[in-house]
Amino acid sequence: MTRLLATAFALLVAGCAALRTGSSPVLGDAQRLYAAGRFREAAARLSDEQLQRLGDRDARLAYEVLGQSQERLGKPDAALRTYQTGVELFPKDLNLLTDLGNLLHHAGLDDQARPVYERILAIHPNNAAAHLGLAETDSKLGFLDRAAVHYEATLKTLGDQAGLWRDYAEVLAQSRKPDQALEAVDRSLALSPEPLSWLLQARLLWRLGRAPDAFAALARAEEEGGPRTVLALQRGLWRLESGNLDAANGDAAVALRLEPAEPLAFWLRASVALRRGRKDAARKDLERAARQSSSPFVAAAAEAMLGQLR
Amino acid sequence: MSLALSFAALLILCAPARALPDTSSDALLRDHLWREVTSLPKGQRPAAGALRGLAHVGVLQALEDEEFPVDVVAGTSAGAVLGAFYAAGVPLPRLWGIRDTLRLQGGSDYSRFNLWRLVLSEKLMSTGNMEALIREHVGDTTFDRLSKPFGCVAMDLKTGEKIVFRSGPVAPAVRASMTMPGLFEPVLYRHRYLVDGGVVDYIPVDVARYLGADWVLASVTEGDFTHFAPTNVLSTLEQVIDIRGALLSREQRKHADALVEPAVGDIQFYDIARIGDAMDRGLTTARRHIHEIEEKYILFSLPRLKNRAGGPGR
Repeated sequence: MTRLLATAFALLVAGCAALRTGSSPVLGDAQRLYAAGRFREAAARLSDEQLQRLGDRDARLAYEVLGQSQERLGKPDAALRTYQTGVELFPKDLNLLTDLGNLLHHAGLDDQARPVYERILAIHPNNAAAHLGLAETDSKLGFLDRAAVHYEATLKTLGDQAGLWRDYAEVLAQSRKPDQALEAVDRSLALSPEPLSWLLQARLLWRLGRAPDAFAALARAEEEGGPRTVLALQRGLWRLESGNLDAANGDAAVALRLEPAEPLAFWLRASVALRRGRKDAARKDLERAARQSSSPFVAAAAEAMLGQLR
Repeated sequence: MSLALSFAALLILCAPARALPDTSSDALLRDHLWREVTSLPKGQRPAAGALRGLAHVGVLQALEDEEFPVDVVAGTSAGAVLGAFYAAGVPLPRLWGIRDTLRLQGGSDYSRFNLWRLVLSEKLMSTGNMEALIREHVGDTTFDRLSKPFGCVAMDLKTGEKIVFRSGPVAPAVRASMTMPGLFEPVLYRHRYLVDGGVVDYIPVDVARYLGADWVLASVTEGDFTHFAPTNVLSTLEQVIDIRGALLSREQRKHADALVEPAVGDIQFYDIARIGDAMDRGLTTARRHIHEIEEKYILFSLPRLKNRAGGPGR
């Protein structure tokens, strides 16, 4: 029961401002406009003058509504100023802190988002939104062990979220813990058989040397509607790696049927041709791959291989 | 229960959007070629190996996370300390622990008492504590007993020569390599008065190559001398070394195959309290550039894959 209450509280504090009603008519108006998607008008209702007239409880909500409206209007700088002012006035307001942390995180300012999330945890140690924010920022910044700990804390509350299990699995995979990663991705798949989770499972299995299982997981990803070109290319690269050249060529052909200018498919076909000693055919495909600016690394690798052929 | 569930939905709505796995063609090929390159036998794979500053712990962490093959290590100054630990096989979690060790031990060297003594009696401070710390981690080991080839650089204060250490006991050589001139007593070793090698070799790319590296990743931590207005002996000395180092590194960085430059210019070397910050910045910077670095290494290694059974290009 205690855990349920703690969970409910953690979730409650992260609820959207627009759904908690304030007592002031101005705030009420702004909330209605926000809920109706009229963000410009919602923001206009909450002028500096109006904000100053609001009592504490309403003012907290008002800063949230204003900041979120500004975000929706594509004005992150204005939203940032709003949240910062709100946090200055109400330093323990978990909603404002969460909004500020998330805005910084989405803007790629993860090193600035971290201390904000840490402030939330200092106030409310089980806050799932802050743990999730820290898990994501730590994972992006490279602190994989810390990221794993925060994912684990988040999953205690949100263990029914397949995507979170997959993200956790990605962190474990990067930390070179493939067995644990596999367990986490299995949990994700048990909750929702999403193609990207099958793809991740396939990659982990490949890394563990379980080739047949990896190919089977790729097939499941395809059955679940995964990106067919990506899956064909992944399969083709693995077949190339294991020396199954005919099949790899077939996968390159599939990818090229789906996307006729796909540079990696040209690279794959060229690699097969090179292994068969067909240098002219390989050269043509490498030239095609090297011309594609959409994938600079594929183009650079193709260019380097062309250099070896010359 | 239904209340909790409905709020759970709200949380997901408000939580940061998750990044999807990278399934771009570049990522697929990088992953494929990375496996190919790193699975080459040691002699066939280009040996990768250079360091300066404590931020390198973070850089090494990022490299290890990506299973980047670091075959040789060369370092100057604090990079020599970390390079020696790494080459001796000290695990990275212990290297991260150095931040705490230095906080405890460093205090005695940089205390107000010692600084006053330096100014009043003109008696230079000792790097004896540092040698003790090095021994604590690597013992009395010698260069040839390290698990990876390692070299470090010092300067002979009498002749201005660059001295490259790659044999004999590790601890005194590393101590000499990080002995800041003007502040610490030169280390009398092998009949030479030795100080920090950063004065003559800021980024030891050539040492890494001499040790057998075909491909060199230079981890460079330059002090930002525009950031501070020196107000005392310590900061003035550091400023001079940084300016000299910046001039040296401008040329030396051209010889590296890839660079990682953690932005630690605002952290002064004696700022013990911010060591952890420097290490963190090393990790985040290296992490940000890790795919770029991998791609450079892969492109450099492609010709070697040509002769490999099952590799591309055969």
